[in-house]
Parts: sequence; structure tokens; C-alpha cells
Amino acid sequence: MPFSVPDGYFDNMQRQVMERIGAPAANPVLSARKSITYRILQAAAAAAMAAAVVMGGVSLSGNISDSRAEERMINESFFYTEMMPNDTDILYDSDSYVYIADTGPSEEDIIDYLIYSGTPVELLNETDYE
Amino acid sequence: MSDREIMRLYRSGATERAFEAIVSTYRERLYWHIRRFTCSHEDTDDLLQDTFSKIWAALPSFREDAQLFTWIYRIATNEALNFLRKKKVRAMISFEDIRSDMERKIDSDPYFNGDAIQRRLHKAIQKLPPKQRLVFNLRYFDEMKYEEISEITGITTGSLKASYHHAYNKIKTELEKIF
Repeated sequence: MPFSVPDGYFDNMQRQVMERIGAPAANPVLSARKSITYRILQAAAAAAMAAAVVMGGVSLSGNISDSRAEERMINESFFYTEMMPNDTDILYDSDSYVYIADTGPSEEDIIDYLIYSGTPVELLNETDYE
Repeated sequence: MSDREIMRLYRSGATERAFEAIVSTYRERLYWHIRRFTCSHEDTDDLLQDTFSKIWAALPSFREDAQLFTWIYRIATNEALNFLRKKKVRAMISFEDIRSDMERKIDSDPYFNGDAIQRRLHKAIQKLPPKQRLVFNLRYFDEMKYEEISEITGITTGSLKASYHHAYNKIKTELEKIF
């Protein structure tokens, strides 16, 4: 080979290698492996934590949605509840949300809703919208 | 000490002595094998020590269904190829740039004591893709049989022969430029 090595290199290298394997704590390969394993475990723990937070959030959001749906069903007769924007409206139709928020339902909208929901005409007459 | 004697020593329980024999038997061969990839004494020294540490750690799992020397070469080869990959990833550069870097290393290597033709040969080897370089080095410098190279690399002998043929022609073309 046209390359050379420093004088006594191979003997020194052998001594270094034997020292390295003789002292496991100072073994860079083993410590590097531990370090990699530790990092993988750390990353896995972080991922699990993030997943738990996300799943918790999704589950909580589901519960909130469910409780909202329940509440809505209970208050079905209360027309205004149905006209209020909810989070889904914000997500799917932000323009209409802005419109409702800015102007509020008109009297005509309210009457249309009451007719549509089957409210007796007598009750419509008794309702004071002024 | 032969591989058989080393393994007999290892099985007898003299694990450190067996390992010492491995280091003593293979240190120079593996050094040159790795150095042909790295073109640097310092990098080779690091990789060689890592290689022996891995051999020591993996020795209990060596099942002797492969020859000891091919198993040892496989570990050293993986170390060398991983070194090149890491180098590429760290620097976000292509193998082409690594080759230029290697050529510069050959030029500035204080331990290179070959003549101009040898320098040209080693630069031409650095221009080869990693697989061709590996096959060429093992065949040309280590004079290994294709079957042995196949055992080390896991590449079929047919593919190895084709790689060596391509590598040989590329190096021949490079060297012809100076004659």
C-alpha cells in the first residue's frame, strides 16, 4: 500500500481496544448504544405523551359535542339555540358565522324558524319580538 | 493464529484472549480495508476501534455458520459504508462531492508515500460508486474470491463480477489518460 501509519500505531491501537473492552463503562460503542436506546425511549415517551394529549383532546371534544347535542335536543323548543353558531359552524362556514355574529337573526328569520319548527300560530301571535 | 484456533480458544472460555487474537490477526487487514474508504488515518483509526468494539460485543452471538473472517469483514465494511453515508447526510452533499473530498485527502495525506501512478489509482478508486469500490478493493487488494465477497456483502457472485468488471474498466480508462 502506498500509505503508511504512525510508528507503533498497530500496537498502540491494540492496547487501546483491549482497554476499551476491559472497561465497559468507558466503552464508547456500548455507551453510544445506550444513548441511542435512551433517545429512542425518550422519543417514544414524548410521542406517547403527545398521542395521549391529542386523544384526550379529541375525546373531550367529542364529549363536549355530545353534551352540546344533548343540550340542543333538550332545548329544542327554544328556537334561538338552534340559530346560535357553534364550533362546527365556525369550522365549516366561517362566512355565515361572521354574518350571524354581525347582524343577528332578523325577525323574519325567527318567524320562518318558528313556522318551520311547527310552533302553533297562537303562540306566534303571543310572542313579543319588539 | 487461525480462525479455527481463535474460535476454539473462545469456546474454551478464554474470551479476552480470543478477542486479543482477533485484533492481532485482523488489525492490519481491516485497517487497510477501511482506509481505502476513508482516505484518512484519523477516520480509519476511529472506525477500526469501533469495528473491534462491535466485534467484541457481537462475538457471543457469532454462530459460526459463516467463516470468522467474512463475519469480521462484514462488520468492518458496514462501519465503512455507514461512515460514508453519515458523512453524506451530515454535509448534505452527494457522493460526487465526497469523492472530490477524498481526492483532496489523498493529495494532502501526510501518510501517503506512493508515486504519482499510485496516487492516480487511488483517486480513480475514489471515483467509483460505493458498491463498485467495495468489490474492487476486496478483489484487487485483498485478493478475495467472489464467493467470499458474496458472503461479506450479501451480493450475488454474478452481480459482483459485473460490478468488478465495470470498476476495472473505469479505473483502466482513468489510468490510460496519463499514459
